[in-house]
Amino acid sequence: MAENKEIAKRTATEPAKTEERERFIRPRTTVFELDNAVKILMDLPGVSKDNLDISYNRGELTIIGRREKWDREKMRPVYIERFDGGFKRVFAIDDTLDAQKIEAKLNNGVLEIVIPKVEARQPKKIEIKTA
Amino acid sequence: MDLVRYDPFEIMDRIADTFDSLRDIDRWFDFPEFRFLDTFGLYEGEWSPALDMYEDDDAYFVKVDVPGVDPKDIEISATSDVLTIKGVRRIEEGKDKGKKKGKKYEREEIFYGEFHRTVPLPVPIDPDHVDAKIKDGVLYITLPKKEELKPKKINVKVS
Repeated sequence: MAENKEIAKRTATEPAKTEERERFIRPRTTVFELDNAVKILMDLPGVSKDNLDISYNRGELTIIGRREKWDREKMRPVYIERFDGGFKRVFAIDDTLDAQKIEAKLNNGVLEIVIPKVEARQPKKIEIKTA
Repeated sequence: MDLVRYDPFEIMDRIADTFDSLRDIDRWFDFPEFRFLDTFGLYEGEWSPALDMYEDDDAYFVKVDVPGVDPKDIEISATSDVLTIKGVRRIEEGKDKGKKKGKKYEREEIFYGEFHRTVPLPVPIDPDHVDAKIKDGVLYITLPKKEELKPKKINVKVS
């Protein structure tokens, strides 16, 4: 289904903006279709609202942000498995979805985005009037 | 010719994309209940949350990514040399609510179910003074090192 195909952005094909090009990780995401919307769930543990930016532009929904790093001045690492720094994911939104009505909420480290379908496209039940 | 900087981590993205396309195999079979990858159990059973541990002279500091996990479903126990974290991530109430019948997930990368981590501690800690809190889906655990093992500053006296 093409309704929510993610655009795989290869870092190598993007021009290097600065010498120290930042690497973005791709947070785990589940996407599924509801009767009248599409729902995106994304794992963003430790990300506060202030460090998260969601934007829509020309058919692309971009979720970008960062999370705080450990204070390595004061502490020494023993095990490191969690991602540090920036994350980014881009989703293509086609015209069957109403991008003007995108809603997002962040709860317990999980970002939930609901994109309603364009109303005219939704199946409508037509009542038969009796004369 | 453009010079593209060699990115050793790009392979990770490629692997992720390969797995994504592997998931597309599921779409060859138009049975809603049939999932190719599920037959290998890749999306079932126990999962392992990512964990960081840092230390200073006084304590170990642990952060565990447990997004969407109810604090009531987490169980932490510690002995002087092992930290154990157990829990379960339940499918959020209403996650599937209204999900179109017979429709497959467009993308399904989030793990649910039980998780279990056992972390060996390089230096003994004081299990009676372990502190744990949860915020924004991250579990923060502080494990103070045993008093007698903390490095001591020795003053040099001038004779």
